Amino acid sequence: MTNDPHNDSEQETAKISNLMSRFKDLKPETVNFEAGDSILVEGAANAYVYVIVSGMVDMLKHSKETLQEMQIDSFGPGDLIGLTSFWTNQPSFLESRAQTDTTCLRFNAESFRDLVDTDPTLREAIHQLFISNLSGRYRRMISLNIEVAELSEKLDHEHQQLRQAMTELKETRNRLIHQEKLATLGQLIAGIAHEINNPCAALTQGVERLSKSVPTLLDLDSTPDNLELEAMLLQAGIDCPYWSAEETRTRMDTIAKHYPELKRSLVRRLSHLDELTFKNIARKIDLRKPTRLTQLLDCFEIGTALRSTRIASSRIQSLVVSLKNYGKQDQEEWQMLDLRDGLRDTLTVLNNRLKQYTLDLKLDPIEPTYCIGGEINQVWTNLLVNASQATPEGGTITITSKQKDQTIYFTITDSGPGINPELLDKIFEANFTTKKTKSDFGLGLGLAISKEIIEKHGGNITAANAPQSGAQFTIQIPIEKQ
Amino acid sequence: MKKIYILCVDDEPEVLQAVEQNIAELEDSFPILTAESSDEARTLVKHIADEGNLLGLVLCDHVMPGDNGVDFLIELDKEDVFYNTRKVLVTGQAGLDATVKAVNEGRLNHYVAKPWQAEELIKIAKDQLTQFVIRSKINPLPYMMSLDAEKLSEYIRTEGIVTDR
Repeated sequence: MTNDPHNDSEQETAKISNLMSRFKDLKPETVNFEAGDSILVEGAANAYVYVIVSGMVDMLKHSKETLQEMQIDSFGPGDLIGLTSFWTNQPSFLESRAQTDTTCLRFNAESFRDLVDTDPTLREAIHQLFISNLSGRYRRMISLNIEVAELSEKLDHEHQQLRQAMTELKETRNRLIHQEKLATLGQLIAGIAHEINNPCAALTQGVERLSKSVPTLLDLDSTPDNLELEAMLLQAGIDCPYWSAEETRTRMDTIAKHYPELKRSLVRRLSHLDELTFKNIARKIDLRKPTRLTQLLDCFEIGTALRSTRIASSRIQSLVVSLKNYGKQDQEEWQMLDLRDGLRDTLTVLNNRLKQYTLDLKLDPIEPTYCIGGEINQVWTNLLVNASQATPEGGTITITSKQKDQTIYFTITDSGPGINPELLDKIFEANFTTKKTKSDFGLGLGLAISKEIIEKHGGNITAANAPQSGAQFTIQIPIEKQ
Repeated sequence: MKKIYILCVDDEPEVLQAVEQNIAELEDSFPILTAESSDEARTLVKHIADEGNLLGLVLCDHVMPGDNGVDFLIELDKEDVFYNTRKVLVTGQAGLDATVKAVNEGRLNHYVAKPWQAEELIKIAKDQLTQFVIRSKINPLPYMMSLDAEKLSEYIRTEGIVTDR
């Protein structure tokens, strides 16, 4: 917007004062305005033409949509106000408002027109004056338009740059989230590897034992009677439960007391037999003859090896089922799911990490909830990993579920030191972490991501310190997203 | 003669049984005890000490409910009677930090990663028990058959005398 005094204002003022002498009959009044006074009101009828003698006047227009005031132009000494409405007989198109204290000469439009009509020379002079005044305005409008065009081009450019920056930011953010997901996945995989490792070890051992014992069994030249005993022991091995280490010790002590001449290695092997099988053997063979006893124990141990491999493989199988469930839901798909199922799968997958803690599950029945299962599992994973990291070994992690009307509530409480109250507000911010060691991966985005996921489901997540110490996270999710 | 025990600790019964079976051939020279937790292991260890016997070797898992294996081994190492006890971690999951701690604070003698091979475990057990016998200055003769005979013979030659404490 230009506020420059108009170039030709001096010339104009001279012309006007020259004309003035011819207007004496019109008796122009001198009018004073204070800064801020309206001289013409937008949309109101106007019966005067003003000539500015001193001061500055702003021309303003009000936007119909926003009612915002826009400055269109500003006039100084020698400029005319009220020209448009004078020529067109229309209400004032703009508001004229004194920018500074202003003095004007005011002419009554009607008598002005009469005078101009009766004096052709005067009319020509007036016309010239008006036209030069209007063409001045028109020139200013053109340069204004050009300025606006340049500005909007610049604005467009900046807009585009901003949009690009925005896209880059979004990409970075997605990349970070992806990285965090990978880090969580890395932790999960390490845990699962261990979880599968144990049954794998049992499988390996079982198969090794079988490949050693089965050939010797085939070499036995058994009579039908003996074969029956061997088959019985094989079956007993398959059906035999695991004895605890303590039970084994007690049984070994008892057997050693009754058969002091038996080697301890045989005592241990005998201690694995259940009571009934033991009695059966003791009745049918002489326990002090190790050759036959060893043969029968071999049969029994083939049975226990089969049992071990069966148990180990079914554990691997159930682990794989949990894993599949955990992974299967990692699609961007909204479904009605019982949130507890995903929680249980996550607990299985994290079992190895959570083993050192007492898990206290108080899961009340809840209705299926509209959700993206895989995303909610990510929240469970984040919260449970956090809880396990915050809690000393042997601590307790409590999980509750509850439904109240159409809302599901979960709480996860650990028995760690809790959260510093000053940090409670910041805990959901990206890159917030209290973990001091570098041994865990992750970027400290876990809670920020969790919050985003829960909010996407129309719920919210809050952190607090539990009354009995430890941190407590509360999740609230509506059954049907609003 | 004092008994020299082997103690196996693992919370998973299948794993515990596998360890036990792998080293079963040592049982007649070194009675084997098994425990499913650090707490149970503590009771057994106390029992061994109370009866004036020795603990030659501990094969211990790390991640278990309750106290972990590394802490148990460190605790054990602090007791004079178990100073010479050979400490072995049998684990799939002790991280670097825990393992370093076991080595530095519990003088860990060996680390076996799960899953292991049967021959590997029995060899480690024999080597460690051989070391135990030598370092505890125990008469090696009864163990020549079940342990590393070569090392024990060399020990007899260099030491000259055989004592039985």
